[in-house]
Amino acid sequence: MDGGHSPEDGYRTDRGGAEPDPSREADGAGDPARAPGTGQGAFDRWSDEALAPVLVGRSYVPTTAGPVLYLPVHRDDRLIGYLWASETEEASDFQPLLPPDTAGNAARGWWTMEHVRLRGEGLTALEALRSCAGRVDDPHGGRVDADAPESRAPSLEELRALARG
Amino acid sequence: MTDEEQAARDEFRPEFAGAEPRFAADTDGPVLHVPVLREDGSALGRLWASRDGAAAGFLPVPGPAGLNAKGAWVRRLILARAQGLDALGALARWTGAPQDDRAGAVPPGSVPEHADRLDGIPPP
Repeated sequence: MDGGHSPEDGYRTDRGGAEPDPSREADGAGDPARAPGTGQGAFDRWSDEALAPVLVGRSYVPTTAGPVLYLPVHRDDRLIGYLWASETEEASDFQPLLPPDTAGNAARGWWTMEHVRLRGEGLTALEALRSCAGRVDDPHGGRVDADAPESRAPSLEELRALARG
Repeated sequence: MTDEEQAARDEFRPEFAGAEPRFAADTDGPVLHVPVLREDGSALGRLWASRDGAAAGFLPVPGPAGLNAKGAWVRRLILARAQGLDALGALARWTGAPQDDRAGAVPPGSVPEHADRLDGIPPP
Protein backbone atom coordinates (compact mmCIF):
# COMPACT_ATOMS: atom_id res chain seq x y z
CA MET A 1 0.00 0.00 0.00
CA ASP A 2 1.30 3.45 -0.80
CA GLY A 3 2.34 5.68 2.07
CA GLY A 4 1.87 9.38 1.54
CA HIS A 5 3.08 11.04 -1.62
CA SER A 6 3.45 8.16 -4.00
CA PRO A 7 3.79 9.63 -7.48
CA GLU A 8 1.64 6.75 -8.68
CA ASP A 9 -1.25 8.14 -6.71
CA GLY A 10 -2.32 10.92 -9.00
CA TYR A 11 -5.06 11.94 -6.62
CA ARG A 12 -2.68 13.50 -4.13
CA THR A 13 -0.14 15.10 -6.38
CA ASP A 14 -1.85 16.14 -9.57
CA ARG A 15 -4.51 18.69 -10.21
CA GLY A 16 -6.01 16.95 -13.19
CA GLY A 17 -7.84 18.78 -15.91
CA ALA A 18 -10.81 20.47 -14.34
CA GLU A 19 -11.89 20.01 -10.77
CA PRO A 20 -9.98 21.51 -7.85
CA ASP A 21 -9.59 18.96 -5.10
CA PRO A 22 -11.68 19.64 -2.03
CA SER A 23 -9.34 19.87 0.95
CA ARG A 24 -10.29 16.59 2.55
CA GLU A 25 -7.24 16.57 4.76
CA ALA A 26 -8.04 19.88 6.38
CA ASP A 27 -10.79 18.71 8.70
CA GLY A 28 -8.93 15.87 10.33
CA ALA A 29 -10.57 13.28 8.15
CA GLY A 30 -7.68 10.90 8.67
CA ASP A 31 -8.42 10.56 12.38
CA PRO A 32 -9.68 7.02 12.91
CA ALA A 33 -11.52 8.06 16.08
CA ARG A 34 -13.97 10.12 14.02
CA ALA A 35 -16.59 7.76 12.71
CA PRO A 36 -19.31 9.31 10.57
CA GLY A 37 -22.25 10.58 12.55
CA THR A 38 -20.28 11.35 15.68
CA GLY A 39 -20.42 15.12 15.64
CA GLN A 40 -20.44 18.12 13.37
CA GLY A 41 -16.76 17.81 12.47
CA ALA A 42 -17.25 14.24 11.34
CA PHE A 43 -20.39 15.21 9.43
CA ASP A 44 -18.42 17.84 7.53
CA ARG A 45 -16.13 15.04 6.47
CA TRP A 46 -19.11 13.59 4.65
CA SER A 47 -19.94 16.77 2.80
CA ASP A 48 -22.89 17.44 0.57
CA GLU A 49 -20.74 16.20 -2.26
CA ALA A 50 -20.16 12.83 -0.66
CA LEU A 51 -23.80 12.48 0.30
CA ALA A 52 -25.12 13.32 -3.15
CA PRO A 53 -22.49 12.19 -5.64
CA VAL A 54 -25.08 11.47 -8.28
CA LEU A 55 -26.00 15.14 -8.46
CA VAL A 56 -22.56 16.61 -9.00
CA GLY A 57 -21.71 16.84 -12.69
CA ARG A 58 -24.99 15.44 -13.97
CA SER A 59 -25.92 16.53 -17.48
CA TYR A 60 -29.41 17.04 -18.87
CA VAL A 61 -31.47 13.99 -19.77
CA PRO A 62 -30.58 13.07 -23.36
CA THR A 63 -34.08 12.10 -24.40
CA THR A 64 -37.63 13.38 -24.19
CA ALA A 65 -41.04 12.29 -25.40
CA GLY A 66 -42.37 15.74 -26.22
CA PRO A 67 -41.59 18.56 -28.62
CA VAL A 68 -38.17 20.15 -28.70
CA LEU A 69 -36.68 23.47 -29.66
CA TYR A 70 -33.52 23.23 -31.71
CA LEU A 71 -30.69 25.30 -33.16
CA PRO A 72 -28.39 24.42 -36.08
CA VAL A 73 -24.73 23.85 -35.24
CA HIS A 74 -21.99 24.40 -37.81
CA ARG A 75 -18.32 23.67 -38.18
CA ASP A 76 -16.75 26.02 -40.71
CA ASP A 77 -19.43 26.22 -43.42
CA ARG A 78 -20.92 22.82 -42.81
CA LEU A 79 -23.97 21.91 -40.77
CA ILE A 80 -22.89 19.22 -38.30
CA GLY A 81 -26.06 18.75 -36.30
CA TYR A 82 -28.70 20.27 -34.06
CA LEU A 83 -28.70 21.34 -30.45
CA TRP A 84 -32.10 20.67 -28.90
CA ALA A 85 -33.83 21.22 -25.59
CA SER A 86 -37.21 20.43 -24.12
CA GLU A 87 -39.34 23.39 -23.09
CA THR A 88 -40.85 21.50 -20.19
CA GLU A 89 -38.24 19.00 -18.98
CA GLU A 90 -34.57 19.11 -18.04
CA ALA A 91 -33.71 17.38 -21.31
CA SER A 92 -31.17 18.52 -23.88
CA ASP A 93 -28.61 17.00 -26.20
CA PHE A 94 -26.72 17.46 -29.42
CA GLN A 95 -28.08 15.53 -32.38
CA PRO A 96 -25.30 14.94 -34.94
CA LEU A 97 -26.11 14.42 -38.58
CA LEU A 98 -26.80 10.74 -39.16
CA PRO A 99 -25.11 8.38 -39.45
CA PRO A 100 -22.63 9.91 -37.00
CA ASP A 101 -18.94 9.78 -37.78
CA THR A 102 -16.15 10.09 -35.25
CA ALA A 103 -16.32 13.89 -35.43
CA GLY A 104 -20.06 13.74 -34.78
CA ASN A 105 -19.52 11.53 -31.75
CA ALA A 106 -16.78 13.83 -30.51
CA ALA A 107 -19.10 16.82 -30.94
CA ARG A 108 -21.76 15.00 -28.99
CA GLY A 109 -19.24 14.21 -26.26
CA TRP A 110 -18.15 17.84 -26.15
CA TRP A 111 -21.74 19.00 -25.81
CA THR A 112 -22.38 16.52 -23.02
CA MET A 113 -19.58 18.04 -20.97
CA GLU A 114 -20.72 21.57 -21.86
CA HIS A 115 -24.17 20.63 -20.61
CA VAL A 116 -22.63 19.30 -17.40
CA ARG A 117 -21.07 22.71 -16.95
CA LEU A 118 -24.22 24.65 -17.79
CA ARG A 119 -26.37 22.50 -15.59
CA GLY A 120 -23.84 22.92 -12.80
CA GLU A 121 -24.40 26.67 -13.14
CA GLY A 122 -28.07 26.14 -12.49
CA LEU A 123 -29.40 26.72 -15.99
CA THR A 124 -32.51 24.94 -17.15
CA ALA A 125 -32.24 22.98 -20.40
CA LEU A 126 -33.98 25.79 -22.26
CA GLU A 127 -31.80 28.48 -20.71
CA ALA A 128 -28.74 26.45 -21.62
CA LEU A 129 -29.91 26.16 -25.22
CA ARG A 130 -30.52 29.87 -25.47
CA SER A 131 -27.14 30.68 -23.90
CA CYS A 132 -25.32 29.10 -26.84
CA ALA A 133 -26.16 31.38 -29.77
CA GLY A 134 -23.22 33.64 -30.46
CA ARG A 135 -21.28 32.18 -27.53
CA VAL A 136 -20.23 28.69 -28.53
CA ASP A 137 -17.53 28.32 -31.16
CA ASP A 138 -15.46 25.22 -30.49
CA PRO A 139 -13.37 23.08 -32.84
CA HIS A 140 -15.02 19.94 -31.46
CA GLY A 141 -18.50 21.11 -30.52
CA GLY A 142 -19.01 23.42 -33.45
CA ARG A 143 -20.47 26.90 -33.66
CA VAL A 144 -23.92 28.24 -32.85
CA ASP A 145 -24.35 31.51 -34.76
CA ALA A 146 -25.71 34.54 -32.95
CA ASP A 147 -28.62 34.62 -35.41
CA ALA A 148 -29.16 30.86 -35.46
CA PRO A 149 -32.86 30.28 -36.09
CA GLU A 150 -34.72 28.55 -33.29
CA SER A 151 -37.16 25.97 -34.58
CA ARG A 152 -39.56 23.52 -33.01
CA ALA A 153 -39.88 19.84 -33.79
CA PRO A 154 -42.90 17.94 -32.50
CA SER A 155 -40.65 15.08 -31.39
CA LEU A 156 -37.09 13.84 -31.30
CA GLU A 157 -38.00 11.33 -34.00
CA GLU A 158 -38.76 14.23 -36.35
CA LEU A 159 -35.47 15.90 -35.46
CA ARG A 160 -33.59 12.67 -36.14
CA ALA A 161 -35.33 12.39 -39.49
CA LEU A 162 -34.07 15.87 -40.23
CA ALA A 163 -30.56 14.81 -39.17
CA ARG A 164 -30.76 11.88 -41.56
CA GLY A 165 -31.25 14.36 -44.37
CA MET B 1 -3.96 7.52 6.27
CA THR B 2 -3.55 7.73 2.51
CA ASP B 3 -6.49 8.36 0.26
CA GLU B 4 -6.57 4.86 -1.09
CA GLU B 5 -6.52 3.44 2.41
CA GLN B 6 -9.38 5.77 3.24
CA ALA B 7 -11.27 4.69 0.15
CA ALA B 8 -10.72 1.05 1.08
CA ARG B 9 -12.08 1.74 4.56
CA ASP B 10 -15.08 3.51 3.05
CA GLU B 11 -16.18 0.20 1.61
CA PHE B 12 -16.40 -1.26 5.11
CA ARG B 13 -18.54 1.44 6.72
CA PRO B 14 -22.05 0.09 6.18
CA GLU B 15 -23.48 2.47 8.78
CA PHE B 16 -22.84 5.30 6.34
CA ALA B 17 -25.69 4.79 3.91
CA GLY B 18 -25.13 7.92 1.89
CA ALA B 19 -23.00 6.71 -0.96
CA GLU B 20 -21.75 3.61 -2.66
CA PRO B 21 -17.95 3.73 -2.97
CA ARG B 22 -17.89 2.51 -6.55
CA PHE B 23 -19.53 3.53 -9.77
CA ALA B 24 -21.63 0.85 -11.44
CA ALA B 25 -19.41 -1.37 -13.57
CA ASP B 26 -21.59 -1.40 -16.63
CA THR B 27 -24.56 0.27 -18.24
CA ASP B 28 -27.09 -0.29 -20.99
CA GLY B 29 -27.23 3.35 -21.94
CA PRO B 30 -25.05 5.81 -23.83
CA VAL B 31 -21.50 6.51 -22.70
CA LEU B 32 -18.66 8.94 -23.23
CA HIS B 33 -15.12 7.61 -23.64
CA VAL B 34 -11.56 8.90 -23.91
CA PRO B 35 -8.24 7.27 -24.82
CA VAL B 36 -5.68 6.37 -22.17
CA LEU B 37 -2.13 6.39 -23.48
CA ARG B 38 1.32 5.42 -22.27
CA GLU B 39 4.08 8.00 -22.26
CA ASP B 40 5.21 6.85 -25.71
CA GLY B 41 1.73 7.47 -27.08
CA SER B 42 0.72 3.83 -27.39
CA ALA B 43 -2.72 2.79 -26.19
CA LEU B 44 -3.32 1.38 -22.71
CA GLY B 45 -7.08 1.38 -22.92
CA ARG B 46 -10.18 3.57 -22.86
CA LEU B 47 -11.81 5.27 -19.92
CA TRP B 48 -15.59 5.50 -20.12
CA ALA B 49 -18.43 7.07 -18.21
CA SER B 50 -22.16 6.60 -18.66
CA ARG B 51 -24.23 9.60 -19.70
CA ASP B 52 -26.40 9.23 -16.61
CA GLY B 53 -23.34 9.59 -14.40
CA ALA B 54 -23.86 6.31 -12.58
CA ALA B 55 -21.37 3.98 -14.26
CA ALA B 56 -17.70 4.23 -15.19
CA GLY B 57 -14.90 1.90 -16.08
CA PHE B 58 -11.72 1.19 -17.98
CA LEU B 59 -11.41 -1.06 -21.02
CA PRO B 60 -7.80 -2.27 -21.15
CA VAL B 61 -5.73 -3.33 -24.11
CA PRO B 62 -4.97 -7.06 -23.87
CA GLY B 63 -1.98 -7.99 -21.76
CA PRO B 64 -0.47 -7.31 -18.36
CA ALA B 65 0.08 -3.56 -18.86
CA GLY B 66 -3.59 -3.08 -19.61
CA LEU B 67 -4.67 -5.09 -16.58
CA ASN B 68 -2.22 -3.22 -14.39
CA ALA B 69 -3.63 0.05 -15.66
CA LYS B 70 -7.14 -1.17 -14.98
CA GLY B 71 -6.28 -1.67 -11.31
CA ALA B 72 -4.99 1.87 -11.09
CA TRP B 73 -8.10 3.26 -12.82
CA VAL B 74 -10.47 1.34 -10.56
CA ARG B 75 -8.82 3.06 -7.63
CA ARG B 76 -8.86 6.47 -9.32
CA LEU B 77 -12.57 6.13 -10.01
CA ILE B 78 -13.23 5.23 -6.37
CA LEU B 79 -11.33 8.33 -5.30
CA ALA B 80 -13.21 10.55 -7.76
CA ARG B 81 -16.51 9.24 -6.51
CA ALA B 82 -15.44 9.80 -2.93
CA GLN B 83 -14.83 13.43 -3.93
CA GLY B 84 -18.48 13.69 -4.89
CA LEU B 85 -18.00 13.50 -8.63
CA ASP B 86 -20.35 11.54 -10.82
CA ALA B 87 -19.00 9.41 -13.67
CA LEU B 88 -18.84 12.32 -16.11
CA GLY B 89 -17.12 14.45 -13.51
CA ALA B 90 -14.60 11.68 -12.94
CA LEU B 91 -13.88 11.55 -16.67
CA ALA B 92 -13.30 15.30 -16.73
CA ARG B 93 -11.25 15.24 -13.56
CA TRP B 94 -8.74 12.74 -14.95
CA THR B 95 -8.51 14.26 -18.41
CA GLY B 96 -5.12 15.93 -18.70
CA ALA B 97 -3.73 14.53 -15.45
CA PRO B 98 0.02 13.84 -15.61
CA GLN B 99 1.42 10.62 -17.01
CA ASP B 100 1.60 7.76 -14.55
CA ASP B 101 3.72 4.64 -14.95
CA ARG B 102 0.85 2.37 -14.10
CA ALA B 103 -2.30 4.23 -15.18
CA GLY B 104 -0.98 6.12 -18.19
CA ALA B 105 -2.83 9.32 -18.95
CA VAL B 106 -5.78 10.81 -20.80
CA PRO B 107 -4.15 13.39 -23.08
CA PRO B 108 -4.92 16.97 -22.10
CA GLY B 109 -7.67 18.46 -24.19
CA SER B 110 -9.13 15.05 -25.07
CA VAL B 111 -12.76 15.47 -26.04
CA PRO B 112 -14.86 12.52 -24.94
CA GLU B 113 -16.59 10.65 -27.73
CA HIS B 114 -20.20 9.58 -27.49
CA ALA B 115 -21.16 5.95 -28.00
CA ASP B 116 -24.71 4.70 -27.87
CA ARG B 117 -23.66 1.63 -25.92
CA LEU B 118 -20.63 0.26 -24.07
CA ASP B 119 -20.05 -2.27 -26.81
CA GLY B 120 -20.02 0.58 -29.30
CA ILE B 121 -16.67 1.80 -27.97
CA PRO B 122 -13.96 1.04 -30.52
CA PRO B 123 -11.13 -1.19 -29.29
CA PRO B 124 -8.37 0.89 -27.68
